Amino acid sequence: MIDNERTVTPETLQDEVKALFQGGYRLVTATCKDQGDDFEILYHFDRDLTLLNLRMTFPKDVEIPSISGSYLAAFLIENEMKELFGVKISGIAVDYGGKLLVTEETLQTPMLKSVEVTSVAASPDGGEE
Amino acid sequence: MSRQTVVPFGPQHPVLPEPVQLKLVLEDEKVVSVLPAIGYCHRGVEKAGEINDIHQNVFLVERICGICSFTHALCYCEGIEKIMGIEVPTRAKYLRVVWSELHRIHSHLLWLGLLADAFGFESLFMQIWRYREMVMDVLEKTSGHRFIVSTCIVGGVRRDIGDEDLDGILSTLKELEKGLDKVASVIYKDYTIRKRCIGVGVMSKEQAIQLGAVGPTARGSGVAQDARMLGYAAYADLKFEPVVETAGDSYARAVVRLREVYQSIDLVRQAIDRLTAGEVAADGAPVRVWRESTAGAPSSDIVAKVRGFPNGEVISRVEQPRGECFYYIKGNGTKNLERLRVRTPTYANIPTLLVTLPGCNLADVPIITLAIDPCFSCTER
Repeated sequence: MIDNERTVTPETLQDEVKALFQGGYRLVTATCKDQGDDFEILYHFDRDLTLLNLRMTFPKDVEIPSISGSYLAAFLIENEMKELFGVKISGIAVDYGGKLLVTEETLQTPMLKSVEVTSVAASPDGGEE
Repeated sequence: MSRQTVVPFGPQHPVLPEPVQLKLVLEDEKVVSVLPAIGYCHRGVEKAGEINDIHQNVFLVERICGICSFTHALCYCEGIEKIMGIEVPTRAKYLRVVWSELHRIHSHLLWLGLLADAFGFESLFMQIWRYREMVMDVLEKTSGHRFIVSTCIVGGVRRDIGDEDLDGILSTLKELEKGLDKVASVIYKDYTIRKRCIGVGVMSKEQAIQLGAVGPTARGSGVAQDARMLGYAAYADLKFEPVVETAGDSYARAVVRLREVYQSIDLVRQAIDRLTAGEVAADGAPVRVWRESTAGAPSSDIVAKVRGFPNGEVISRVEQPRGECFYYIKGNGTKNLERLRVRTPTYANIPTLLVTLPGCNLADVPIITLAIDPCFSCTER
């Protein structure tokens, strides 16, 4: 448990975020975690160097709304969560369609716990790099 | 009706130290809109952070970026120490300040040189980088490496700085200040610099907060926020205020960085003045912190004895040269972390380009982009 956190749901997320925007909070970032059957996203906000965190846990097949309507800067973080974790997010202000950080040749959704990564990269012709 | 053209700026461009592509939509010479595209140097650091053990991760995170290297390690170590309740010795806290501020000085001098290079002021660029070499020599003398100093470890620092080297740092900073005064007079008075930077890439204070800008990018727009005010390491004992300018343009961001170099020199002096004798790592019995295959025994440098593994979650923030760096760390009582999340300052500052670039001339795009001091190896991890 981290300091100063509140629990939100996909249904209440946008209203809570809008209230923070109107309260002068700055979006710091969001942290996504793979919890097995669920995702957990922590949204981190700051005002005068005091953090406020929103914690949201939801099943992996649930689509969550974007917060980029309130915080435009969230578009980078939400695209990253979509690509690296496979989180379904609707309404991102600038949607890169899965091509922000990863490409077709790289691992898809690499941050999922089910995706195992070894320390040696295999080259396309089967040798080691 | 003007015809719109799409011009790709990057990923390779003389003014960009690292790759990013900005797709610029132009009407004649004016930028109408911009779409940033990153991903050219994504290395999967957060995934690697779950595979390595907690001590190996110090080596991992300090290689996220060569310029902010020490502050990445510091942010990570501060987080692990907080979860595990490790008390860092006082001397180590001050040494952490010394290395952090030396990094800030060399990063800002690097940037000021690149700014001069961006509009063709080559002699100023070379002069600034010549002064920067004095700081690189200090880093090499105190740690053995110019960039990735590898002195921060969980529990303290790996090396001490002796009295002779501390005197050397002070005399180097004295010489650096003399050189800096000459550079500052050019930056404040030169017609070319002022013409190219004043009124270019303006962002208001409200826009800076709404877009989540941090560091000199935000402080150049009047946002008086500096993560050092949180009091990590020994900053709580030092006297300083955030350096702020209010014009919100590229010139303001340059002046903030220039003034922060002077501030960092003062902070190093304060830290050295307050250094007391003592251990530099918690409970300092030497242990191996690297893999079995490492050749040779640990040197006489002190390494930390840290018992156990982190169990819990923590947020750690430090002020890197480019702004607030944010680490979220979650441990589960094993030697591997459950989650390592890194948000670097450039990641927060990229969205400001969506506001500062539209409306500017194509010729101003390099200056405005450079004004956020972009570091894409940090951004993409």
